[in-house]
Amino acid sequence: MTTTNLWFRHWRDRWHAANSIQRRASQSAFYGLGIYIAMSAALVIAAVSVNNTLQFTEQNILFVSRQPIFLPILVNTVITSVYLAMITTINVSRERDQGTLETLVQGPVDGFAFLLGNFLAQIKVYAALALVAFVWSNLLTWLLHLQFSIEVSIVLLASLAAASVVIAFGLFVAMWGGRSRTALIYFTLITLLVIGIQLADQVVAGIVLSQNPSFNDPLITVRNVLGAVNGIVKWISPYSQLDLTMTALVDRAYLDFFTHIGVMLVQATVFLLGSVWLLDRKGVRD
Amino acid sequence: MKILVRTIGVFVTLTMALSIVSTSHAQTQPREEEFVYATTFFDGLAYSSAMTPPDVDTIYMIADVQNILAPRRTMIYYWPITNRYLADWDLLNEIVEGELEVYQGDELFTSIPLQDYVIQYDGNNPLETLTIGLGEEALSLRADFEEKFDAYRQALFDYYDAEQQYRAELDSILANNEPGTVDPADLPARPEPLPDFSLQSTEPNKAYPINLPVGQYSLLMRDENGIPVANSRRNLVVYSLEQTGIAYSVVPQSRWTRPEDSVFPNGVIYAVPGSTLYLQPSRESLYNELYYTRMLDPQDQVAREDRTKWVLHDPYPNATLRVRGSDGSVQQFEPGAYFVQQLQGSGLGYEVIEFDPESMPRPSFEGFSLSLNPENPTYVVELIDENGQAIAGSQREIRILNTERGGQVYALGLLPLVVGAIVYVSRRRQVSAVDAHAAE
Repeated sequence: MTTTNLWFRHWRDRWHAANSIQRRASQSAFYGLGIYIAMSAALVIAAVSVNNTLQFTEQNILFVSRQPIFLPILVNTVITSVYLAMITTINVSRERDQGTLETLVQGPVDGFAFLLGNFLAQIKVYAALALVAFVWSNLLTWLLHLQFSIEVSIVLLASLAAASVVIAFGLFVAMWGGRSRTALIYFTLITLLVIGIQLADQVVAGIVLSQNPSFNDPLITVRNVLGAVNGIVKWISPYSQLDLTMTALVDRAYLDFFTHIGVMLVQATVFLLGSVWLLDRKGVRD
Repeated sequence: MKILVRTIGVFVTLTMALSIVSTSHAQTQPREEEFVYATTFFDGLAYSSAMTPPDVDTIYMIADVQNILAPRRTMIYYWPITNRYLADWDLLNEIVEGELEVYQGDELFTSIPLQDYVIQYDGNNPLETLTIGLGEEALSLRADFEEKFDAYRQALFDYYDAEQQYRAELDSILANNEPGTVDPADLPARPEPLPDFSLQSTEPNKAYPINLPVGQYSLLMRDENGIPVANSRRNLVVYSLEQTGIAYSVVPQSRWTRPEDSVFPNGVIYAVPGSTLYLQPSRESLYNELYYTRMLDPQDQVAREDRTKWVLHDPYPNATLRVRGSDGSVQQFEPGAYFVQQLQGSGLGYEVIEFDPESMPRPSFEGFSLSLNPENPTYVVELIDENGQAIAGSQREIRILNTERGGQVYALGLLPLVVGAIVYVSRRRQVSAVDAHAAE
């Protein structure tokens, strides 16, 4: 048998193993109630933002916007992807905690196939949720008489890239943290930190705007520091990248659009390969 | 007793006056002589001025237009109320003579000598009539302006004379004839009033005119002996606009003092059913927020470089608004003038009516009126020029928003729960069936 054939067979077996794990994990998610509750919660929270817009329009008579559905979609993406990434972190680190992973790798499953299978499972679940979000956004468009836009569908597709980064990050943290509780704490803290920096930047920038700041105003320094940190964070945070993707889309800046999609895909790959490397380095049992 | 009361009164008055004198302090800040750059810059529509104090190290200007830099010595003070460094021009206002050098990197890009300049424009159409004259041309422009102004003043005197003569003749005819017996054809012709003198011009001033392509530069002032002037080095950012378009200020009839701007060409205007909107189109340009804001106010601390800013210019002239409804109707509207009339009574309230020049002092606002009919939920508006051509970037969609359906939006959010319940129940049934089969 030639080396090429051996290589091909090795990868076919790996893919088969990954696919089996993917099917098992995604079926488990689809048959549970968790994702439906999470999706409903996400859509209800997104509905709060839509309702806020409606109330504003009613009081203001007018509302001028390029794409009023983008914010609810971003909210929905954040909630569902964080939920899926947390589930991934818990499931994967638990398999390691309980020794199931050790048993699995005795068979035809290696670390790469195990992690890829779990990653693809959550991507599949997110794709199903994005499909629900697509139906929801079109119903919303019809119900409220918003402008129908193909951009909404494109953003939902782009949100797959953002979700893949968060899910791959969940895998990475699961491998990095070791025990499921530690991994979950790492995941929560890092996510809160990244989202917190972005929120703080927006809040402080808003406060500075409403004041008449001087050169020596300490808030200006805080704003500038947060702005600088956020300048870095926006290239790390998939949600910032998704937000920038949305802006690029409505600005019709297609090069920017594909750049941000590319950044997210690179991030997802780095986290996924990083988690494989960590698994190889740390082993299948803590 | 009266003397006593008067004495006490005088005493109290004097005490109060003295206490006022003793407690009042002049609010002045210490002044320091400094080198500053006074800028006269083109802001996209007209020329404005700003002062760049020593603490500000960068000056911003629009590319490929004539701007003016005037390095000056003045007295600078900090004004805590507005958190700004201000110049006391009355105390010292001295142009620094010599040569202004512009560097790109370490290389000298250009060297600019001190010149006269004059800015002129017609107040009725500033954008298309704006002229800046340099050197000899500046003096000639000013002379031309003064000549025109003198001619206008003479024409104005002549008009007042003619008006007086007209009134005198009219009074004489009315005094010598019975009411109702004068043929209107026998009345003297009233002189035509003169339009306002709309040409505006600055005095000839001395400064350093600067017109550069987009780029990052630095400035250095050299005095007449070629020696660099202390504190005269500054960065200069020359930038261009990123996009132009047509903006609409949308004035809702029921909130006429709170217009909303629709600046994005692909923006949608959502409104409540039955509302009346007035659309005011204007030209607009998109700039980097930091560059544009710091050009207007070099001491600004709020603007950010990673944002852009649409700047609305003059109202778009001589256009018609074409409105296409979702029912297939097409209408064209001319701009109208409107007057806001306060309602009688103590309660607040007003109505917007068409402006009548005979009975109303001046219009409250102008624009295209559009009443949104709930039967026709979508409109597409665009401006049409004199040749009937649609003006690029002027199209907007106006949609009536179903604001009363907020509750249904929440109900939509429960959709995944319904799907989940169906999946869960069917799965339970499948598992029960398998269990039952296994038990058999």
